[in-house]
Amino acid sequence: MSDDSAHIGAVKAWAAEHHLPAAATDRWLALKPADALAILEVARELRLRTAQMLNMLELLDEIGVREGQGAAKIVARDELRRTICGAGSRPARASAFMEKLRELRYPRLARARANLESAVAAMRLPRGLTVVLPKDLSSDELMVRLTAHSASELDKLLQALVDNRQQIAALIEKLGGSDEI
Amino acid sequence: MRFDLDRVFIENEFRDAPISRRVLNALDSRVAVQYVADGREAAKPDRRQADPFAAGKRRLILMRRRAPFLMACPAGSAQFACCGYLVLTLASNCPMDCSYCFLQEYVADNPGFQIYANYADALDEIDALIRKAPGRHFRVGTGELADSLAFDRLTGLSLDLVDYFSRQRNAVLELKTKTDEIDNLLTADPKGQVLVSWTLSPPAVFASSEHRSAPPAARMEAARRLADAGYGVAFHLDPMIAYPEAERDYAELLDRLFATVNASKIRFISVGGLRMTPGLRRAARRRFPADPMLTGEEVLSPDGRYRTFTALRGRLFDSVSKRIRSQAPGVAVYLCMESAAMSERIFGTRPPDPAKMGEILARGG
Repeated sequence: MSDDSAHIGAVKAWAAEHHLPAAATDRWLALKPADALAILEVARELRLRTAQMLNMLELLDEIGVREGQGAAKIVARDELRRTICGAGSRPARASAFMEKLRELRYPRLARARANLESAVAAMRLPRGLTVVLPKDLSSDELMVRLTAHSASELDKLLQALVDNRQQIAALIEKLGGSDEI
Repeated sequence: MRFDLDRVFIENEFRDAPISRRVLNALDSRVAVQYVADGREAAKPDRRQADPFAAGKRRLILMRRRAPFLMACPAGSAQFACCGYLVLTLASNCPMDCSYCFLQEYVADNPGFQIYANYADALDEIDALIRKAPGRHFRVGTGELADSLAFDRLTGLSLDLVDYFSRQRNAVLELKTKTDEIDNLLTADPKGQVLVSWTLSPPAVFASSEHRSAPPAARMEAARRLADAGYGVAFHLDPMIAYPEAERDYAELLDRLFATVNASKIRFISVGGLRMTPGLRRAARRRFPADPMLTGEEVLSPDGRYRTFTALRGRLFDSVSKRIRSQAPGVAVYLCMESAAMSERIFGTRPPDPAKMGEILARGG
């Protein structure tokens, strides 16, 4: 077995053990050996589940297309290494790794969401009045939820809603693209 | 544009039709021609090929259309503001190969490049429509399931269409294209009833995604020539792709457009974001795995399509809208397949209903 193909058996073994679909396994095996091996090392270190592996393969592929880099170089980045080698349980690190990978794949979405979340937090809304951003900022629909257990609580929440009307309206405009991303 | 055809199929009933003769005369003599009873078989995907969709583009089929030619634009829906466009399907599939093209999914089960030889029936359908609504104005386009001009060198279809529409008063024809195939059109007089529209993308999108189409500068130059020849011209910034330099590149594209084509001759500009069903996205990524334009920040949206997340999309729409307003304030602009709320946010007013919008665009913006 040549050095270049040394990883093949290990990748196949991981894929078989985790019932990885054949198409995904083939895509993994089609990568350059260093890239395939880097993915295997992450999978082993974080004990990734099958769904996480599928997600990781797709995200790494798309980041690679966007940025012209192979998987080995991407997972070697400091921000990802920190999640792989950081403190915490393996599931927590795996989750943090996937989250960071998604941020790299969707950098402007991640920034926009962080910006909106900080605007929501700055309103300091009372318990029972919640502003829910759309999943993945995929629409300009902002959900405002009131949860009251008494008439007086309802009055208090409605007043808070009125008091924050302008900020909430500004959030809707931001969702629609009023701000620089 | 150059065709790479493997074979031409002609249904027996059209063996001696003028369109068949025109195609055969214009074809490279090395392309095999086969006469068949029913062209639908030849339109089916050849699953032995690595890319059946691309292989379908190389099989030209002259055949009968067995369904109505005229229909409302399939993009229309209660969810979106709509431009009232009527689609006239004279062909299906396209010799160009844009990585984002919806045909990759839409005609995956019949990818053969079909040209409907009974197109005179289509004109009968338009006659009937006009008779039913004599006071209305319609905008009818042939560029939905095929590029309107990509095959014109072979078929000469545009001449028959211009001749028909030049005699209408309540219907205008929109020929939508990514080519600069305008030689036939330059020989005809549209009498104000034909407009030609181009999908325009920045050079980066053209180079990465719009395979075998004419470069953006060539499309603009073709528009200038046709505008000078009495045709209405229009542009579709659709799909707009929100890659990192998009805002700058679309601004430069518009600057170049207005430097090439006199804004007073532009009937309208439509604007729309990249949108892909999950099936289309899979097909496009499989066929064009290295195209970075397919790996933008698209997320699954409430309408079931992948779209650039709303804030970024809205931002891009706003920037091009302002650019157009500043340089060509008289040009009508509308959004395609976006909500009325998005239109209101970008333009400050809610769009008119589809019929009214269709009339406005048919009458010239």
